[in-house]
Amino acid sequence: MTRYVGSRLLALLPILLGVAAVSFSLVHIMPGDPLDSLMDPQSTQAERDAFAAALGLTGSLPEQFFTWLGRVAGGDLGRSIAFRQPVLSMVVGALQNTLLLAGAAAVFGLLVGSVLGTLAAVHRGRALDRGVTGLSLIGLSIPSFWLGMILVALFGVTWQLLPVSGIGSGSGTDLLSHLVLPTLAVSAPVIGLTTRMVRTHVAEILEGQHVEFLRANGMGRARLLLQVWRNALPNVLTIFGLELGNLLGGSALVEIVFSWPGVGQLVYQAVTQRDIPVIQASLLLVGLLYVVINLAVDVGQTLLDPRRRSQVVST
Amino acid sequence: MTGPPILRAQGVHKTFRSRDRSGRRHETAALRGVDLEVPLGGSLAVVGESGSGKSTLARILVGLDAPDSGTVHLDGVDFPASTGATRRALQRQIQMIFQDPYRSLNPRMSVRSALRFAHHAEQPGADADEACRTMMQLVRLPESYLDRRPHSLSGGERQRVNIARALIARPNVVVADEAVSALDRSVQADILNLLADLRRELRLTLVYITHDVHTVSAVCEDVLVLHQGLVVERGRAATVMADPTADYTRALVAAAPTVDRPLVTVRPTSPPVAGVPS
Repeated sequence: MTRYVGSRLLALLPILLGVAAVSFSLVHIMPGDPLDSLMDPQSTQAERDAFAAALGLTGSLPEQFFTWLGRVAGGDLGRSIAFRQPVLSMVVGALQNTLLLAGAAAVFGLLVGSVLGTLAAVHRGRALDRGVTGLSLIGLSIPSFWLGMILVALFGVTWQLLPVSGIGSGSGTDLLSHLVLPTLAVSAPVIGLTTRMVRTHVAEILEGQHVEFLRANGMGRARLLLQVWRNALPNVLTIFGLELGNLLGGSALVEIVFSWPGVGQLVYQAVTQRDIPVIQASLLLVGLLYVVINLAVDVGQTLLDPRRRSQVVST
Repeated sequence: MTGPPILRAQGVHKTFRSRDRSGRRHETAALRGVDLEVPLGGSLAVVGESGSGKSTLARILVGLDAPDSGTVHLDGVDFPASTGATRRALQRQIQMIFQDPYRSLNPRMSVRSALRFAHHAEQPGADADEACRTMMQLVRLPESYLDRRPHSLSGGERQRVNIARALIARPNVVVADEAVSALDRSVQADILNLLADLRRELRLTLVYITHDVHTVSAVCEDVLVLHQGLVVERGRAATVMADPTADYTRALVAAAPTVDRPLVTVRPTSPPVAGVPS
């Protein structure tokens, strides 16, 4: 198992290099010269050269990339042009907020989706199943930012029940009350997808003859569902990991709607201000986190599934 | 008849209701007043083509489904109407060997866990490991297979594990629902011979559900022929298969593919070698 995890970590290296290359290149393939939008049009060539050198924009593109990569490897992600402070602390702070929102939405979506999916599977073919499946389709189809705006209009403006902007004091019940609406908005597609996936997996397992054997031997419904869930767990874990990864970038529009100070909001601001170091660092860290979460899901799934575990041990 | 009936079904009806995509209701009468009786230690084959109601009857006999009307008595007790401790005691008495060896074992569980699970459900506190080893000998599998998981076993080996799992509960009645139809012809013969031997050794009562009329006489003494949920013929297996009186049975026997040699001549000479699928 240790060898398996080691080999998977080694296999990450080229992926991480790719993530770094994409993060670096995206800024450079954007149309226009970044210096034009960042500098006073009246600035002299000497001032432009000095600014370009400070941003690491001198030399050929590969030279710029490896210089940037060397700095990044040493933990130096540069300074924000707009905020004039170290990028690392800005992005890490924003990433924590994004992880909080994505984590809350993934956990909430997974819990609700698992309950709905299991209910639909147990009552498969009946009205409850059709109703839940229809609802899940709606959840999947609704754009999160649109749902966010509806929630703001209803809970913030009309009923004035919950705060709709920022994270408040950032702790305790204040943070929780600020978290409710963005979590609901972000988790709608997660609930939809989880419901459908859990319904499919649980229904398939319930129809298996090994479950029929348990039923024929008098096992009660609660214990039976527990057994079924043990079988479904690796698949549910995969859904959770993929959703969490997707939400890191996918909740950006909702962050903007709710002024949630996460990476999405940060990148949005950085793009409008052409704050190159912030854009590069945000893309890089989100990409790294996405890759690491996927690795954790893969390893977790291998640990939970005896078939995969035995394959790993025997190779 | 070799003894008093341990399993008796009378006037069993079962109708399945469904709706198509346009919302129209459909009713399918799977069983229409089926009667059967199996004495303790006896064996009854239930024969019919696909859709004749065989599997529905099997599921009702083991308590997985309830009949719409009619009764099923197991050891003199109304099985579908039973509840609580009485029902659990009856469930211990009748076990099913399922059709699909690939779907009837939990892929997460080792053979040992599957057997222990079944053993514990029936006899909590008893020596499960000893019972597991005994069962592996009984179904002619090496003890080392106890630590394997279903995906590393062949279809025939899985079906032997299924048989062991059904027998570890020490049932009086075993219902084998198309237990060999998903297996190769040669493996079918092995499993059928094993079933016949176990029936003799353990004095089991066997209900053998099949569409394969050629295997009936090798496994069972009596036969019951089902057609569209109705019993069209019943009697001694050898007699009915050799000289069927109902048109449907005659058509069934005539339509069955023949094999080159009798099934009973194919017997395993030794337990399977570890790692080599049987």
